Amino acid sequence: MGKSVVVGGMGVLSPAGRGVDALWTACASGGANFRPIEHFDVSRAGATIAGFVPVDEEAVPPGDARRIRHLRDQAVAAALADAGVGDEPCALVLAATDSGGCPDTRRWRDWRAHGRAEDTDIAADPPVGGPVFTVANASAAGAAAIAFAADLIREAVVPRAVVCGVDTVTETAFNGLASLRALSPGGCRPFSPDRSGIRISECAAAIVLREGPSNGVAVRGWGVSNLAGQHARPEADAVVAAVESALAVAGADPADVGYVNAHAAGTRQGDAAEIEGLRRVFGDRLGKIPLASSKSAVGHCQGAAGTVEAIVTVETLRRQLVLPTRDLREPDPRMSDLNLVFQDAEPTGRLGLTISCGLGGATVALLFGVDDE
Amino acid sequence: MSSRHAGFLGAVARTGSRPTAPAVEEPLIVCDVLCRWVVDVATAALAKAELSDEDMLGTGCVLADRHGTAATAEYIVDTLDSHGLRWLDPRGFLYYSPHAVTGELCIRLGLGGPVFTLLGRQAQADALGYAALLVRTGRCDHALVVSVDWATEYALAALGDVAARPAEVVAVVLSADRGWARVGNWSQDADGGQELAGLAGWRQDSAEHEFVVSAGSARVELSHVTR
Repeated sequence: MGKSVVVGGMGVLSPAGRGVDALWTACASGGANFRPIEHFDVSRAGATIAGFVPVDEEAVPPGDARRIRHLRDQAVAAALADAGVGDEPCALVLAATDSGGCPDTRRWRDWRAHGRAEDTDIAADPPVGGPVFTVANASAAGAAAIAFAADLIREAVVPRAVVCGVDTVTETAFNGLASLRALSPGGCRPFSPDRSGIRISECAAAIVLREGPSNGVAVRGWGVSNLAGQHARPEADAVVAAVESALAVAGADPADVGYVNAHAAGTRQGDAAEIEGLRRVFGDRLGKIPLASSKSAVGHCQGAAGTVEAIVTVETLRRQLVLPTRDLREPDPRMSDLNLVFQDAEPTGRLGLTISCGLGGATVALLFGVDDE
Repeated sequence: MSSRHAGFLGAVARTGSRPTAPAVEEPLIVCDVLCRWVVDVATAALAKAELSDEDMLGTGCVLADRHGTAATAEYIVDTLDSHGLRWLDPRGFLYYSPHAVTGELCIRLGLGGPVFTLLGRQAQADALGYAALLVRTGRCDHALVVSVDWATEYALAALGDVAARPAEVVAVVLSADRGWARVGNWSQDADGGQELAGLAGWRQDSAEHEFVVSAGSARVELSHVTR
């Protein structure tokens, strides 16, 4: 039996602003910073809006290669301060969706024209003194990084780690998603019959994990799977495998789960496959579990999506309050039997489940619970 | 930090020939060249380890990538600059994230265990150490470790963690209960050792009973199993 892994502190810079309270407020009442993209041409992309962190937009603006590390450092510092971690050794587990090279298009063009190039690696100049890892399981990277860090702590490889999912709005990813017709011009509408795709956001979300016990929230279980038949089509089988694996690690039963923060990015096939997978695990009981998505409030935070949604899940357990999915008025009729949370509710069990999915078949399930040991 | 958890090394395969260097004009070069190459090397390692189709369901994967999919991002920028968004091949973006290569392995080989993609200079040693942890803790019966180096000219010029080096793919299979070398002592205090590719030259009957994989600050120790 490995060590207990607990949440020691959290820090986040999201389109809602700086801090966990700002994130929670945006999930509750809206107000995140969605605005037209200005740092590259989107006139032919079909979608023009993205979520931006309303912090230091003039000093280190979107499109500046330093911004991703700037956001990373502030989120990590906030999480470490919240956890009361000073000079103690601490691993850094980063989560990102791309390889850190060409997404900085301005520098790539400069290199093509003049042969000048500078380091754009997100792991460079880390804000902690311990070992640095970068997990890159596509849009599930943030959640996979939490699973990775939890393994390191549970098996006593490191005593503590700060996990930081971070991504910015890049010309390459935005246009690549546009070419796939994955972007919704009207925004992210999870579970809606007229859902038509995602809206991406920049974000840096950090969580300090450490050995337990505590009086707070613990990571109870985690499961990572990649059962896929093709790169772009999510599979219910992968959701089943990830959730069942997480339940096994936690030594828990599906009846223990009282809240689901779904990946629910607002794509037609993705939301349906995820719900099908959840139905297989939870059966008829799924209709009783509050099930919500944070993406309509803050967008799809890419490499940070799994960590920012883990933070929402932790806050849901701490506050014993499930927030509705923002702007969901009429659910997809095929999901009308679900408890899609149209007004504030309470978790119905001791565990909160969050799911993350990504291109290539990446699927991660994380289970959090109030640590009562 | 260190971990004494161990798995067992079953097989190693390494690229036999150097593939075409990434060319940004081709939208599916990562799919058509890199992914095929990676699947071939991984298949060879799995065959050497004598894993059955049923074993694949219990096999996880940890892939260490050093800019293997950067060519897709460069294709996107090049196409935007030269022809415009309308000419962007949508299939190209499926091979944008480094996890695309890992996903391709899972799709082609039917891997059913936990799957991770790690990036960076030390990722190949960390991938080996973490895979050993996965099999030792029972998260999977077997783990495929794959190291992918396929940097573009830009990556070589721009990124501090990329040395001038040949394109290379190495695949290693670890198992919980079989193999000829024990894998363990994953630590972050590297002092000497070789890159993962060096394992291809280390044999069960070699005089050297110990081998150290080292990359960046990470280190993993291997030793012959005493019969």
